[in-house]
Amino acid sequence: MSVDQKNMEASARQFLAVASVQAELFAVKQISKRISLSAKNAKAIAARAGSQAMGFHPITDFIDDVAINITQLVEKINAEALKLSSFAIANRNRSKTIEEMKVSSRNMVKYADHNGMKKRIEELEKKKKQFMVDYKRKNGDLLELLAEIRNQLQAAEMICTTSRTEATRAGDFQSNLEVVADEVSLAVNNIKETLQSSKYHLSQLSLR
Amino acid sequence: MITQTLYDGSYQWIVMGRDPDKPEKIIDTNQYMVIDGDRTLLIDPGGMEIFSAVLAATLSVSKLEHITDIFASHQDPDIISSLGLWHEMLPDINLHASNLWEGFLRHFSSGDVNYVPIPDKGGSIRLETTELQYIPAHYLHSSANFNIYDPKARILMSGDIGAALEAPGSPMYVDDFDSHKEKMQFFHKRWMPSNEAKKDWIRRVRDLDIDIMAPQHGRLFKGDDVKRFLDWFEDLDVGIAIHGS
Repeated sequence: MSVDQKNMEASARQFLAVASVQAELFAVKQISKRISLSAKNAKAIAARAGSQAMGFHPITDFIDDVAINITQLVEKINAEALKLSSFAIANRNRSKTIEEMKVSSRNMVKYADHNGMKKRIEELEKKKKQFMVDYKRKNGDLLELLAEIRNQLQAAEMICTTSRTEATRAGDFQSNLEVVADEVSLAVNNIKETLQSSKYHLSQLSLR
Repeated sequence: MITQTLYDGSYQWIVMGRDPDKPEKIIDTNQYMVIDGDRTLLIDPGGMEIFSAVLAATLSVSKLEHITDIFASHQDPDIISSLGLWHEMLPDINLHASNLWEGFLRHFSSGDVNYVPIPDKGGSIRLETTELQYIPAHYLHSSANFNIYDPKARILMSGDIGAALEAPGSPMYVDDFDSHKEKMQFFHKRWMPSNEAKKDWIRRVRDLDIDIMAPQHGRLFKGDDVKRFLDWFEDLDVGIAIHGS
């Protein structure tokens, strides 16, 4: 397998990885919607519980904020991942062009325009190098955004712990509020697992 | 890939085809170029699979930087799916094709190729010293379809009209029209959808002074064989799939 064929395979891996990240983040977005629903549910329960669940009101707002933040981050990551995907496809086309030009060069007869071809291949190779630099930077940006989601999840985990404490003071509504805390906790764990996979896919994007 | 000069005056017409290294399962195609000083026009440069062979053949007679324009007679992949590679290699290249196909053909490149739309009524392209005409050939077979006519060289590049399915390595020109009819018959009856469009095209093309009719597949027609083809095509019932014969 030639170097350019290897590069093309790497490019194909890159845009497949981006597509996988996008699909996973779509799932994260759906889960964060579930968190938001749980927050609304908790708010309704807390309202019915009245003074028994006073401490739950700010918690539900906080849960809602976390869900909104995660959704916004996911949308941002999706937009960046899409750009990265287009970028990877453009690079694949470039790699394919370089590969085909090199095949063509080998088949060219003596009096053909070898110089013009050599010059253009060099220019495209240079562009490809610049692409690698830009791609690395964009990939780094994506990883940072993923880290931001992880921060939000840590906050959500803390809320779950606080929620359970507050639930014990809610009398008849304790079990209802514990269910909400469990739901949020489950959702957070689901997002964590999905992000683990996204992190793996993003590591596939690093250029070798 | 074989290259053969069709016209050698103050500019040149060249056909490229009969590629012995072509992957077996893809249809054989004829590619054309017109070299006029510092401008080279590629006509139906072909699919991705034959890009490197077409490029090598082109650069044996033209400088890379002189390849300024591509013409696509219609939207089929064997005509122009190599567009993305040409565009990546030559970012300033102009693609001349029907205005109807613009949004479609851009799918073959990164989308930002310099597209020069051709209106339904046709038009022309001016190279360095010569001007070539776009002859409408709509519905033959594509719904937005053009031929290129060069009144000085008396060449009509007829796209899929006149196409024949041939064995590999067949000669470049029709040498026995009667035996050639068989190789064209099914292609025209099945691929050409409209007798009305066919008659209209024949009527207009009969007015042109043509020495060579150059299709995108199979052999080229020269001299009296051009008229023989027009007569044969006129009598042929096309669009057979709708009446199942």
